[in-house]
Amino acid sequence: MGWPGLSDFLLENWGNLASVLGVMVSVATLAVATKARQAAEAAKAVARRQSLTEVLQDTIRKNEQVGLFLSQRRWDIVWLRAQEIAGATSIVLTRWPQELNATSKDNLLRTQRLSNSIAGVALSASGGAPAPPVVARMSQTQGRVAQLLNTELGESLRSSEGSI
Amino acid sequence: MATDKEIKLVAQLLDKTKKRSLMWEPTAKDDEFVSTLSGNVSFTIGSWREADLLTMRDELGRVLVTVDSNATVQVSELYAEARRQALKVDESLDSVLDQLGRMG
Repeated sequence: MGWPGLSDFLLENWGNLASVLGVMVSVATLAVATKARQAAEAAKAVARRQSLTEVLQDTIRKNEQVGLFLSQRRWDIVWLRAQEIAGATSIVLTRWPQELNATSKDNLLRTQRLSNSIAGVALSASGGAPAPPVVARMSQTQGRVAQLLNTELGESLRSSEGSI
Repeated sequence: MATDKEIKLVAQLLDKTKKRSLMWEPTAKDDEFVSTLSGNVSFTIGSWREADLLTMRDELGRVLVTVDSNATVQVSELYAEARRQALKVDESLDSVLDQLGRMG
């Protein structure tokens, strides 16, 4: 087909060609939009995971303070921090349910109950000096809370690195 | 007064604890132990003056169910099993028996 033939073909079929071009543009636009949505969702997931990591780091710091104030027999602050940890685990469990598997939820539920038990003992200890075995039990529980929270922080960091 | 479902819950927990598929650990309180299930609920069991008490809580720490040993004796059995597991009583006994056996 020469130039005259091509010219005739274009003149006779310009409508069909425009339709085909329109479909191609639409498909390309849809593909770009889908990619953009996926990228936005991935960025949102990374941000959510980052927030979870920060909350866990803050909770670990609070638990370290429980250990510190426990050694100083500052029962009121032990009670306060232990309550804050129990509250933080409730927030984590309700705010990030998608990011947590059953094992992580179990670990956080245990953290919640163990910190609550520390708070309970600290509250009753504020009336008088508790016996050394009681303090030892509180200290062991605080150590267990640290272990559980560090496991969850490690898991969260690992997931963050995997999703980047 | 415990309901049939609550009695069934205690029986199931006792069974799973005996089979070691439900793990208990000590809390900061004397004679209180905690366990969790599927990341949805937590259980605490403790011994009080009047009775042994099992408490089930949701993820916000709200009490959903309490059953005491006055309602069913299986709560006391569960307490004993949970305590035995959490404090590793069997492992300690094995170790002591082993040491005694080696004394001749």
